[in-house]
Amino acid sequence: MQLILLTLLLLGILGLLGAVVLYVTSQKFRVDEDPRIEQIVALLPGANCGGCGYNGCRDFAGASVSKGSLNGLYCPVSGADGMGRIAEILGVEADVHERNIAVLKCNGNCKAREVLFEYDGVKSCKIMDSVAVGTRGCSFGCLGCGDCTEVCSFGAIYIDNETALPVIDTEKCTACGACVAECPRNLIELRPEGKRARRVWIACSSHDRGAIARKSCANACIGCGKCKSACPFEAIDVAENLAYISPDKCKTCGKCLQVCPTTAIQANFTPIAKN
Amino acid sequence: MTKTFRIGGVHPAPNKTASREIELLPLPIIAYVPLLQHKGAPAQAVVSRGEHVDRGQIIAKNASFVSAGIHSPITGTVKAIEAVVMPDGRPSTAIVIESTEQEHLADSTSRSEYWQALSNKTETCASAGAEDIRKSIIEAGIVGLGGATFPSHVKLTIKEGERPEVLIINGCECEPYLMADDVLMTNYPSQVIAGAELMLKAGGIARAVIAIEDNKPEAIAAIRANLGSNTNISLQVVKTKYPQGGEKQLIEAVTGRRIPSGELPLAVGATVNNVATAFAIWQAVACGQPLIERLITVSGNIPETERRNYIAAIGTRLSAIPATLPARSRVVIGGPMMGRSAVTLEAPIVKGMSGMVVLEDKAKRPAMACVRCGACIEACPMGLEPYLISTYGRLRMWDEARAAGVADCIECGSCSWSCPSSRPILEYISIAKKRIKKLS
Amino acid sequence: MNQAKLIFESAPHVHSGRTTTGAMYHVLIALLPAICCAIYFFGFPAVGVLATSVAACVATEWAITRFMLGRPTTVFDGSAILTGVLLALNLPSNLPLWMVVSGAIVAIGIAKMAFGGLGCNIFNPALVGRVFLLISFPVAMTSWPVPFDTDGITGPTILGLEKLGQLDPATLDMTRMLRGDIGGSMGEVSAIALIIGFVYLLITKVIKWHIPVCVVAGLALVDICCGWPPVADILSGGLLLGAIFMATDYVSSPVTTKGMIVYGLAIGIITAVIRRWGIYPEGMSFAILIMNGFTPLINQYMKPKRFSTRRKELAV
Repeated sequence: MQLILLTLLLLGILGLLGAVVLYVTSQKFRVDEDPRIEQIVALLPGANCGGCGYNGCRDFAGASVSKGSLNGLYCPVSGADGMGRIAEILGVEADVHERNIAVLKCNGNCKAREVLFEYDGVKSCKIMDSVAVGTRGCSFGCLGCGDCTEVCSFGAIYIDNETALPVIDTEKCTACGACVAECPRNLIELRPEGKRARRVWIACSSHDRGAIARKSCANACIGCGKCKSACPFEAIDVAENLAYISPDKCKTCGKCLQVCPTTAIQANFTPIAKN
Repeated sequence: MTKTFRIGGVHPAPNKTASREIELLPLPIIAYVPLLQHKGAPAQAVVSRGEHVDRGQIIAKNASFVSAGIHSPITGTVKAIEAVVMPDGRPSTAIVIESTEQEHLADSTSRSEYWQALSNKTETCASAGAEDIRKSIIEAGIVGLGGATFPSHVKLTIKEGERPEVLIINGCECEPYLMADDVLMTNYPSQVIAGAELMLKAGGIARAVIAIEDNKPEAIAAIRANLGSNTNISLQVVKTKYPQGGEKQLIEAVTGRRIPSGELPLAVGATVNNVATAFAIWQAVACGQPLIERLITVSGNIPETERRNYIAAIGTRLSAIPATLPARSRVVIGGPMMGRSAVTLEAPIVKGMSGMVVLEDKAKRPAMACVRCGACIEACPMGLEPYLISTYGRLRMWDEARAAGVADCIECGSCSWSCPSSRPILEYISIAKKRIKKLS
Repeated sequence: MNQAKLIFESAPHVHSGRTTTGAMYHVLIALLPAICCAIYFFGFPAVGVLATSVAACVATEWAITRFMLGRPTTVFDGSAILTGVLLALNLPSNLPLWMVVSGAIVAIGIAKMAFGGLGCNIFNPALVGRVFLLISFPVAMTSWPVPFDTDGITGPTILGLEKLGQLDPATLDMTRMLRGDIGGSMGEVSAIALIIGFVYLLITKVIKWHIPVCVVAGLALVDICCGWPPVADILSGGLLLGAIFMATDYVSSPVTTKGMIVYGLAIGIITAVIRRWGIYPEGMSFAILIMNGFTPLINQYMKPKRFSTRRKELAV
């Protein structure tokens, strides 16, 4: 009995000593940090996705506090609301940022593009782009292996089994840019969400001449320029056999969608048909 | 004494079973001649639709210094200048020429006569000057025929102070199945040597070494027999080991010198060219024949009678090669270690093609975990750690890949060949290499 | 040319034909002489221990991959079977079977699967199982049966006697030790059987000579320095079994030959130190496990010699 009590006493004293040592050292070696950093970190999503351009949420918080303002700092995941709350802590104004969404500049689904040959190799877009023009013909189009889906930390992108193309979930997409960097063919672009969440873009990245592009894919942009002529706002430019819609000039009127002969232009809304 | 490179190397089964007799692959009726068959800027067409061209006539000029001209392999009319599919499925602009029956017959006859007479032609053109030789090389559209297709005149235009002290003529042909260089040296040894002499003169280089792997006794004997009077060209037999024909490894075997990381052969006083290039240069200077055809080996999982070495004209479709393919085949353009899969046989033969190997459809074994056995390290001729670099490439750790020396990788494939877990080592190293190059 | 379906694959398009599974089965073949000797000297109980060990290892790996990881089973790659055999050969033939099973579960479950499965284990799984059993059941694990015995007699091993000071190594009968009718774990007794296995592995190029030779060299070095007859030491205990079959495990050993030399020498030296000055009569298992821990460090510093020298000013 005595032994047990002695043991308990000794261990208790050791524990207490340990606690005292820990406390003293934590106070003595404490790093003084601006308390606002902790507050901002608590507000941030904690995904450490790098979409802000900094090494994780803590780095972003540190940068915003040291800068003293939110100039040029934007966390796409927090969005305008989150940035507003961070701005309150710092006592500054948040920059006005439009929400961006990732869009896929390729519409070469299974119906539009044939599988030209059997590929026995590693199923990775980066590797296929490096060693094979891709089993789907067009040397610019989506390879469908899903490298982009692997890097998304928000589960916002998945490969549709029927079209073999990635689909971006607009609710979850934070425009952090991970998929943009990952795609070896640069098929994903971050475009503004658009007024009333409407946007139009050219879903093709092929620079092949019209005839060649069309041969590879039924939905290819053939660089005919009809969209450019139809656009009342001069938002479309055609260069190197490929059209491009400038997001800042586009007013989502949908006129280009009506004239495009190959359905290379995509919109996330249905424009009212004008005949 | 057989010399060799000291680090790494593997011994794939040689399978050099094609017939040693050279056969002329019939000229095509329609030739598809791509404008880009070399490193550098694509050639620019100098003919247009409807124009008549003769066999050997120039149809595209080199666009810049680092470029090469293209010549017509057949007499005929230019049908079109359009996109033609290449073996890997990519489209490439090509000049399409069609000949009539008579033109085809006339070409074939004169071609047979040319090749029949060629063995006896032994002009060395010793009187030709360096400038003239280089001009002939440009005018004949000659590029490196070992596979790199670097325009040859560029390699031989060397500034006075940078002259290498040795020109190595690469007769190693270390890839399994391929025998084109072997039969070339066996049948046309004096012409190859004469070509080497012309290259020495053109580049202002003092001496040449013809390097042949020791598994080619006929070629060695033929070259040795014909080297009699040349005091500045010698023969070096090297050990049969893959990749002995790789530039860096060959230079080490012949001269003992190693090219430092990121440097060119000139940095160690050497330059390397393939035997077929030497032969093409001799043909250009001595016979006025531009580069319109070359030796290729057709081998692999096809009946023995179809495994041959052909003299094939540029622009001939691969489908014209007599070969009974297995219902499901893996056709490789080049050798099986570094060659690229062909996904269509509608593609044309180009200058850089050294052979076509048909392999049976044996699905690649599923990859197992890396067990750190060290086979890839033992195999790597550049002394790298392939398993490590491959993992870095897969995990997107580009800085670590660079530190591990990925830029030194020659992509010979020895690592993947030797991996008992059948891991896709080379694929990931390639993308790491590309990314590092892009980033720097 | 006929119509054919062309399939795309990346270079290289040929392969050496060597496989990891093939290597495992070569090692099993190399162990056959030792297994046969074990059965010959220790009889039916040896079969029981072997069979139980292999079955338990395979079952553990199957169960973990199926129920915990939800992955396709990996038991057919031969590594679980090999671990089972190696574990059994390290055990006395009279070990209660339930202990064998627990050792197998620790070997596969903890030392191998918990680290990530094949290729990811830091420590040799069979040795971890053995050391677990040694520490948990020290009496059962050190009661060595006498060869050919049917009465359940057990006795100390040669090393045990040497540690107690009751045996002078200079008086040992080498031929008996080579043959194997001495006390010890099932696989370690017959030196000849193990050496035959070593030669087989060298011929089939499954292992390189560096590790076993350096282990023996390291041990001999220390023995010579302290005046102990080295040959007897080499032939006794689990040295040959460990040097040839345990230390050469791909995953837990260094990847370059330079590293292998350092690793082997260190194992030999540590084994000799434990044998001469440690409490345990047998030091092989611990020495190998210690050096397994150093393997990543060795791999980090013993890099292969590069072909190209770096340009000093090359910043990239």
